[in-house]
Amino acid sequence: MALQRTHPLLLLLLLTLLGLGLIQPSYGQHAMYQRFLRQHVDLQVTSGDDRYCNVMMQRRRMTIRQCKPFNTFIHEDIGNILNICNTSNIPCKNGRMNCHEGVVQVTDCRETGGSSVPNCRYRAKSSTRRIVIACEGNPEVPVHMDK
Amino acid sequence: MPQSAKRPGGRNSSNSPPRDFGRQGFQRQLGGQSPQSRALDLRGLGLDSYEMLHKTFLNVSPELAHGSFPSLIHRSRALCTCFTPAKLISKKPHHCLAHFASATTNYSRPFHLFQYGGKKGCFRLHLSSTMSLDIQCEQLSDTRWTELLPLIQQCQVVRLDDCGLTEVRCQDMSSALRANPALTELDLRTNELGDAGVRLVLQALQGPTCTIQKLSLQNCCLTEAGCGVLPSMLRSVPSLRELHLSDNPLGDAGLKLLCEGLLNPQCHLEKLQLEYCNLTAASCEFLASVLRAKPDFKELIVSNNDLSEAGVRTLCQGLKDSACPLEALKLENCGVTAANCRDLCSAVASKTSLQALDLGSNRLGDAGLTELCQGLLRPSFRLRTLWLWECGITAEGCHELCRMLCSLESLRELSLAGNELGDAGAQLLCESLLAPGCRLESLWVKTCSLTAACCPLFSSVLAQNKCLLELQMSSNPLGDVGVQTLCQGLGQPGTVLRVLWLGDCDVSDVGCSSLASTLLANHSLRELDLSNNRMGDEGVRQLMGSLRQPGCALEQLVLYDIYWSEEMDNQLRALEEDKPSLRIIS
Repeated sequence: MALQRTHPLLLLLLLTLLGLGLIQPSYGQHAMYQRFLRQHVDLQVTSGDDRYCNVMMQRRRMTIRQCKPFNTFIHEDIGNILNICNTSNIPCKNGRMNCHEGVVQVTDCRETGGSSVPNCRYRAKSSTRRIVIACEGNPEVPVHMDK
Repeated sequence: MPQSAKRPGGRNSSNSPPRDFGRQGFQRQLGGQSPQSRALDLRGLGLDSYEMLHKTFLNVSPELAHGSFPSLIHRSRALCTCFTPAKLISKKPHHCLAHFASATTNYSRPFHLFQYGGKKGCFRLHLSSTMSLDIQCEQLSDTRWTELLPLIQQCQVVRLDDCGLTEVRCQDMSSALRANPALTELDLRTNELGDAGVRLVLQALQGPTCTIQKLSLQNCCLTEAGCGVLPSMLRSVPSLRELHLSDNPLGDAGLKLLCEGLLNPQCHLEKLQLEYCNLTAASCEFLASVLRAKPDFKELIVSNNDLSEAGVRTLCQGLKDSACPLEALKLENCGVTAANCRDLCSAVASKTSLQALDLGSNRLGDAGLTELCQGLLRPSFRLRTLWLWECGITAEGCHELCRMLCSLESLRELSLAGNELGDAGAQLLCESLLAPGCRLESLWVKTCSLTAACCPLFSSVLAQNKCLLELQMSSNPLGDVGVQTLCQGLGQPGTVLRVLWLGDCDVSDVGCSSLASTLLANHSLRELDLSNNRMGDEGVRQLMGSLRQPGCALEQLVLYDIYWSEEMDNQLRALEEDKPSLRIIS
């Protein structure tokens, strides 16, 4: 089999592409952070009622195949939520030590007793309360809502 | 593969579909699956043009058209891979599918498009015998809207749920709907149509050729003022059978107008939904008169309106006087009282057609329940579904319930969620479930203050009962010990339980370990919910170990609100990719 000379420009292109691939930021928490944003952050409102919950739980894809039994929507700037990650560590429910607490405006949506997919129905409770979130990554981003 | 600019619909001869996705490939996939829930794995199909998809389905569908294949549901995740905008020539997945749909109108088995909301390019494709357009939770751009209008004009079923439609869009829709000769179902829920938008839609449906049977304007911002058009609409559309107006602030005045329309002899409505419509006792007289007048009325849902005891009494009187073959009645959170239970009994006494009764979130108490049970225990009754969630029932009330459980042969679904039954109440229920002749298929005892103490009995039920298919036990502090006990029963040969909910049951890694072993021994379970428990990576890893086995028959594992590591997250996703028959929901 004849040896083929690699074109120098092609090699450069190859290396550049590889380099770009290697310099990607920590992809690590990307998916879980995205899920956190989807499930738990809503900046459009400052509080919600039952109808809000019914619509938002569907809009944010938590009513597919099975209704998510309980979910909290945080009505705060993402900056405020990221700041919570910088506070001191406290234990999570499963024992891990990378949870943090903060007080924020929320709407808690809880399934009614008669809720059943595809008719997922919720009761809303708006309040300003202490939440506990788990943060990971560098920089730290929220990946899980613990309480 | 480099992106080349291609015109929409352009030929791409260098990309013939991989052999696996021809007819044989699909048949191989479908071979081992049950007819009720088949799934086609289209991942890796690598479509570059809608034509290829068209060809693919044309290859497949002749079989499907003839075989016992009522619907084909494809998992959205996989279709997402196929239809990510980057892979499409036109960069408009909706455009592609719209063309696809219209290209298949001549086909003997048209396709049903169902867009899975939110995520760009995510679709489900249903192959069914009705031409349907079904979109949820997507803001429709102007271009998209233009593409959809022809479909609105053609489809039998049009569902545009939470699509940002407004009065302006109703104008366009109006002409399309008027020209649609085949429309049987229209669902425009959760769109801010307003009174004006609703008027436009209703007027469009009044044409002489309109054959609409089911209409939903739930949560469409329809007020009392907008109800003025209802009477004329209802008398002009004799084909209408089902109307959903829930989540609209109609008020008693609006409801009065609605009832005027319903009373017209040209109106043959059979099913009416009016949840959260700001109705009070005043509305009940109008509803009662409708019930008396309509000989075909089958379903009334007025949940979440403050009807109060007096209103409920009036409604019951109307039902009692009516000869309608009522099948379903839902009065959840209506202020039904214990005293009303007698009214309910006399109302439904002659309604042997009644199949579903929902009285959740009303303070009936044990006394009310006793009254109710006595009334429902009639030999001719065919009650199938009874929901008594959050009704203030305790273990005391369970005595009566259990008597009914064994005697009411038709009862298949019972919900007692949110009642303080405690382990004593649970014991009574289990004894009934162990008695021969109990035909219950679904039992909901979520949030009933059950502990590990009642699990040995439930374990026996799981091992011995051959009817119970679903057990909802979430939000009870069963703990790992309770779950381990349940596993003993579940691991026995011959179990039939298909769906088990153990969410928020204080399960840790230890409990997961038992469940993992049980999943290998048990062959009946198809769905398991472990949301909101406190296991970590270790527990999840053990579960995955069992799920990976081809012999594990579980189809759905729900793991909402569990905290696991990124690595576990990746592994869960990979497991789902490797085993198409398994869905993991989080």
